[in-house]
Amino acid sequence: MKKILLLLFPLLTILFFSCNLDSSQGLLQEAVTAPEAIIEVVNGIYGRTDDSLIVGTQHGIYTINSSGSFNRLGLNGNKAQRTIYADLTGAVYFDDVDNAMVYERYDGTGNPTTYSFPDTIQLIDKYSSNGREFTFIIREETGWVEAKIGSENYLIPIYNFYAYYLPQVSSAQSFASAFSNFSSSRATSVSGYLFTLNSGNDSPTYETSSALKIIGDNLFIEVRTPRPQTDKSSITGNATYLYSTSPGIKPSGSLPSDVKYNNHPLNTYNIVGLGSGYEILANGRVYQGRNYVQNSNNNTTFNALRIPVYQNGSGLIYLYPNTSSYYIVNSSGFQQNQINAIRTTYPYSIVGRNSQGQYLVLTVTNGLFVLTPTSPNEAGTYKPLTDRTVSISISDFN
Amino acid sequence: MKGKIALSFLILALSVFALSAEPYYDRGSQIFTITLGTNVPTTATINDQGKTTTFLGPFSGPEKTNITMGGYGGLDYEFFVNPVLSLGGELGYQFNFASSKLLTFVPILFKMTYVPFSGRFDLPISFGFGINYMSYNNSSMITMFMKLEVGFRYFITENWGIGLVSGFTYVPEVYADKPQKNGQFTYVPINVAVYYRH
Repeated sequence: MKKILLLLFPLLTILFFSCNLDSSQGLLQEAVTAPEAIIEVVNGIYGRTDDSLIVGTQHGIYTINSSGSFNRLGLNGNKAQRTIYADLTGAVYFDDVDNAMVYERYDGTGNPTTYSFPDTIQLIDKYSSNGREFTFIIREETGWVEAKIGSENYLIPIYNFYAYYLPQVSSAQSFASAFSNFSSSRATSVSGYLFTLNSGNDSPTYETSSALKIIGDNLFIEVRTPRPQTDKSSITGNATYLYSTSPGIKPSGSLPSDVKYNNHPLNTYNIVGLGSGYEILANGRVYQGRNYVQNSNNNTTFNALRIPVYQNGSGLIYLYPNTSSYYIVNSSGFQQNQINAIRTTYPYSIVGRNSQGQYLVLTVTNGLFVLTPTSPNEAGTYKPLTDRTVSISISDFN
Repeated sequence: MKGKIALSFLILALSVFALSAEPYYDRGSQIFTITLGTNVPTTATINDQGKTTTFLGPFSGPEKTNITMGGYGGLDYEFFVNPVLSLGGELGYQFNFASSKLLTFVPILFKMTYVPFSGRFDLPISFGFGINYMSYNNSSMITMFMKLEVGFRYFITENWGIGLVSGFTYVPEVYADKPQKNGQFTYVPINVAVYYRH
């Protein structure tokens, strides 16, 4: 009897954990949530595969094939509010509403396959065109760079932006390979890279500018010169790069002369920040789409600043060196503000922010202050750290 | 009227139990059972769109399990290790429907049965534990399976009897690496049975 039990136990264990491993949905989940066809409402057609339409309903995502068979897709979590990334040849790509770093591919056979973006990057945008192309905009924070203006040092985060162009693919392997290559070599499919470092006119050593924007069907990547010595890209010289998602236009090394932004040559401006529906240029101009909405650049002081130190929902925050002033530029205008509590303690500088990007940490002569950037002009949103003698290293914040 | 008949039947049965002080079975006694019946889904707990939700009751509708009442057939064997305790096994087949698709269970159970009263009337209380082959919509897996049952047997002859069995069944569907797919299903079986003992 004991021997039988000893044999049965591992057998049961193996059986218990070995079945149905390839299904993305539990059997009970499927049975309980399986709708009756007559009460299911189709909200939209997401895409198609060789023999099936992929439709979204209030309960999930289904395929309907040419014989009328109605089957629930085993997408991860089977969330009805999914959106389609791209309808490429032979397959449809879905997002995961709970995890931006995951996408799923369905080619009409079997269950969809789940893929993850590399966890070292931040997916900031995605763009598909004509159902045949698929572009990811990816940001990776690579560190901090010190920018010096006058006697002040500024530590500014550096981001590399990557635009991944995905042409027609016919297999999951080729789709995923772009990302595996990215994580290993950062070379495949990179059409440009950008720095957000911009230390102003008078500091050519650090002057490198960047822009990243989708306008219409085009993705613009701009790099101004001089730029830091680097071997990370083949981009050279004073150039603006156009990356187009339109069929027939591929990444090129310079912007066509007839491409202008709001009737200005695009390379005369740098888009240093993107708000919700608006863009902030390095000279303080604010545009919404192609429409100019603000010109607060009459303040000549601002031209000398041009150091966006933080971007949030309020806009771009600029510091004014050696004073207690800072500026917020957003679609409401150009606002000059004072950090009153530390007015008498300037100069100050930024030494970092926390990993969630919630705080700017300012140094002043008598200690360290934490500024909440979401509403920095409101009293009480800054606060001294509990121990003004505490030392904080940059590594604590990045 | 039906209630009175049932009550009389129950009193009669209990009287018989009371009079049957001596257990009928000996070590080595055996019972073979053929069971047929239905089952009533009571709860189904799943992760529904990111939230653990319990659905109640059979059939489809708001908050319901979407699983119909179903059918069950089983074969059972018991071997008495002493006059009141038997060990055995059960092989069954159960079907229900969910959204017009077949949901099937094939449980294979080890059973332990306690029979406090025996004779012409038996009152078996069983606990079964084992594995269950479960399938729905072209997918299948092996789950655990547990059930607690109480029965009532009436032996028409010395060897042949009939009876009623009901109880509570628990079926956990567990995925070690994807807990979001986990589910738990409970239902109440209601079965009739034919017994042969010797």
